[in-house]
Amino acid sequence: MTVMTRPREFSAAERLPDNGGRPGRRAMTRWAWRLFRREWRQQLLVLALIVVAVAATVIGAAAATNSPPPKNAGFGTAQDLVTLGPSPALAHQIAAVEHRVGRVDVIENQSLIIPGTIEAYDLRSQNPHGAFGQPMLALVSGRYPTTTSQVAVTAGVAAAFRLHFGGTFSEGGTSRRVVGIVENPQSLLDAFALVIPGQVHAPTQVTVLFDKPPGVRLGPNVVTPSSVSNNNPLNPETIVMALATLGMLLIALVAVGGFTVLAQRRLRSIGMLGSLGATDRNIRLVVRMNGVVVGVVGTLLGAVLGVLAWLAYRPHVEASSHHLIGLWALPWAVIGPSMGLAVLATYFAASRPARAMAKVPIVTALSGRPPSPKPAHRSIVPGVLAIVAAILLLGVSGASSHGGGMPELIFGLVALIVAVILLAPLCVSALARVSSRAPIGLRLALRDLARYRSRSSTALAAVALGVLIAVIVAVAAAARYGNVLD
Amino acid sequence: MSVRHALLGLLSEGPKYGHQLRQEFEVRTGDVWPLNVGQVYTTLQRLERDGMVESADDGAEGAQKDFRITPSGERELLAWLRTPPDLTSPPRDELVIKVLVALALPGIDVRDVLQIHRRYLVELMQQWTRLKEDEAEFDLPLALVVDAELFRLDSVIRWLDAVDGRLKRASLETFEPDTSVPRLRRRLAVRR
Amino acid sequence: MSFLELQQVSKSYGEGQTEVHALSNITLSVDRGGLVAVMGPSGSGKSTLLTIAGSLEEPTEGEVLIDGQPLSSLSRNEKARLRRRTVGFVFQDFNLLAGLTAVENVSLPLELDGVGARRARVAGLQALEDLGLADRAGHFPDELSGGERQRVAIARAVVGDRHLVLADEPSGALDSTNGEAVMRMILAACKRGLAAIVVTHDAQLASWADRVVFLRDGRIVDQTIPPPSPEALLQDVRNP
Repeated sequence: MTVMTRPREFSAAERLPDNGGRPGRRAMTRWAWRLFRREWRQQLLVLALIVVAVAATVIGAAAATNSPPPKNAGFGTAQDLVTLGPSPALAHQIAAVEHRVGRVDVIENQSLIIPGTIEAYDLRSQNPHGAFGQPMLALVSGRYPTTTSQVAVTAGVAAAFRLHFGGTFSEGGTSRRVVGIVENPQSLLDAFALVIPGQVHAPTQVTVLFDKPPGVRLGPNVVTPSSVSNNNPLNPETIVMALATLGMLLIALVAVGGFTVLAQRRLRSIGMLGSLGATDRNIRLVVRMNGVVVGVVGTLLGAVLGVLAWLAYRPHVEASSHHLIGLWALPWAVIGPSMGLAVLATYFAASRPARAMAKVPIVTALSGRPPSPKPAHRSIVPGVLAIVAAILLLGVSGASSHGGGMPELIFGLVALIVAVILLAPLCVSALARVSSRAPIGLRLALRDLARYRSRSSTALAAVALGVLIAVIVAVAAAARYGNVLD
Repeated sequence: MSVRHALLGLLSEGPKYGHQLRQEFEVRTGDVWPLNVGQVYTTLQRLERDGMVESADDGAEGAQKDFRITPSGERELLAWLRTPPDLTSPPRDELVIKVLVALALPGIDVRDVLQIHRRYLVELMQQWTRLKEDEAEFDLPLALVVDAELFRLDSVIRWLDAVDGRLKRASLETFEPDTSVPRLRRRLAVRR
Repeated sequence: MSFLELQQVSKSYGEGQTEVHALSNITLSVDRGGLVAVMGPSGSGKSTLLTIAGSLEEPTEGEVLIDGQPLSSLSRNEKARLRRRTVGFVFQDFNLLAGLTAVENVSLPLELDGVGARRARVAGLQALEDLGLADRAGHFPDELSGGERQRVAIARAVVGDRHLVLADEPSGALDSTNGEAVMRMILAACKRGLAAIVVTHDAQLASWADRVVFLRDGRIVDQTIPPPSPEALLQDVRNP
């Protein structure tokens, strides 16, 4: 039983300067991953928070972006359309457009009233295989009309006229046989009876769809999807993104406390690493990696959960928004960055305890005694400034004329969030000071919170932020939908 | 020193003559306790007198006298193996007395006395351990004997450490002997 | 030939009334291949001596030299490098990182030093094999017995090409058979050229050392005299 010490087999050239380079980083990452696998239950709170946050972002973004009517509603796949009214020169106008732009798709609508009601429906002629209009027409059952004596109706029209397959639909003196049920996927409330082109003799509105070739100038009647849509910066994507960012900030605050406790539990192991020659950077890396692992696992689980929830919830959104929604119509432009944000949030949350752990002297860490918390003397001036700024900005925004004040509102909210985070430690210590008359349980709790201010203040800030988010959502919803005449 | 019982043990393996017994005893106790032949023969004669052994050929004198264990000897051997020795009275230990004397003398630093003995004992233990290191890997009886000696010396050192500890505690608290109550004379012994 | 030297090292904690002198004026040197045991009651400063010798703490006064280089001239990162390459620690218990297998624990200092994972693993397996633990290489610390864990710790302390082993009660939590095995291993490492300091309160373990140093209240109060060599004995006999 002899112990060999090898001669210098690892030459100085093979060894990188400090921090161990890639092998060192890999060893630290490996340990962080193994620790997570063993002790993931200890991090269940942060993990669950991330899973829920990412899942909520996924399904919230999907529902919010898909609820409004699709951007190309009414355009199909065309870039431009022109709407022509009833006019004797209609055919001539259509031919002129076609001559200028090439391929067109013509949809003729004649507005009619359902007998005995005030509800309107359209007699529509549209080529089901037209160049641009296909997204606006879909066959539910039966088939499209192919002759002048055939018609296909929407389910609503069929119900109103009590029609069924093979039944007779009479309008304006013409009788046609019902051969199919159709719908407009982009607007399920659209009620119409579809006939073959040329059968609408007195159209009230004709829509011509085309792709304007470059260089051709047309009249002012031509519209594009972007000119029609409301270019409001407060569209669903940005709102969801803003809420997701706030949510990740909240999670980061909670996670700081969670990761700090975890790192202190591993203090002896970190001391052991120090005695093996790990540098401060190695130790910071291993604590940060722990955060990243939690972030990545939580984000992936949350994304999967969110997608599954979306698949289940999609029919409800279709029903409430009256248009069909594709199975995978998820706004990846919002979801992708949100997932990245979640991972970043845990990385930064773990950076605080990472720096703290690297500062603990090795001998103290080895003994397993957590270092006594150093009282941090932070000035309250920045926090007070922030809250004053927030109040001013919000006041200005509210007083500005209706429709304006948006930038002030946003800056005011941001200042409010910053103020909450900065003033939280002050609140904690102030609470502890006034608690001298409180019952013993409460007093002990508050004194302990004041002693470990770095943890408790982040928790307080997180809770405050959560309430703030709820308040913002409520206020925004009330402002948007508060008008009874809307 | 139970040489007689050790000889009985050797004889229980089979008849042996005097020189053989001496040699085997020494070898099988790791050469730690040398025995001289005269001592062996005296013990054998006493055993014969007590009926524990008998010589093989009566009448033949000289060094090659063969000895054999008797049934009475076998019984005696078994009884000895299973009977713990009488350890009820602590032996008169020179070191213990030395320390007690040092405690009583005002000009002596007891802890120096303790350290001198401690070092000496450790040096002894170093030599025994060197023996263990070199040879005792393969020689079981030697290992047992060396271990026994090491544990014995170790126990003395631990007592010295205990004395150190008690002295330290005693120096922290001043002790006033209670002279009002008459001290009982004690015969320090343990009940069997 | 001395590899480790402590020159009049003192260490105090605290200030004023509550000042504690953990070590006072310690002068000690250990040669390559030498095994020194430090004995003393608890509170005598044995563990502090070890942490100062191994660059985990700085002395309040005095100097520590490893292979002629004073530790005070080293930066924080250079001291970490020293611990990766030159000095190996063995503590009483809780040496290994849970979550890493035995061989991963042993090769960790090499990996921290930049040696690639595969080569480090080879070196780690060799160290474990030398200590008879090759078949336990893939086990986690909680699957190993106490004696096996200490042996893995020793393997880690000597892997690569260390020159100094500092052990704090390495057999403290083990029974006497395992304790002896641990000392035999450290002694074998010394025979290959390592210098070692073993801190212990157990005289039986200290007796494995070439030299035993006695510590009391932070000072060295005594040292054993090395036993005379056979040649010296012969000399005495011939010239009485």
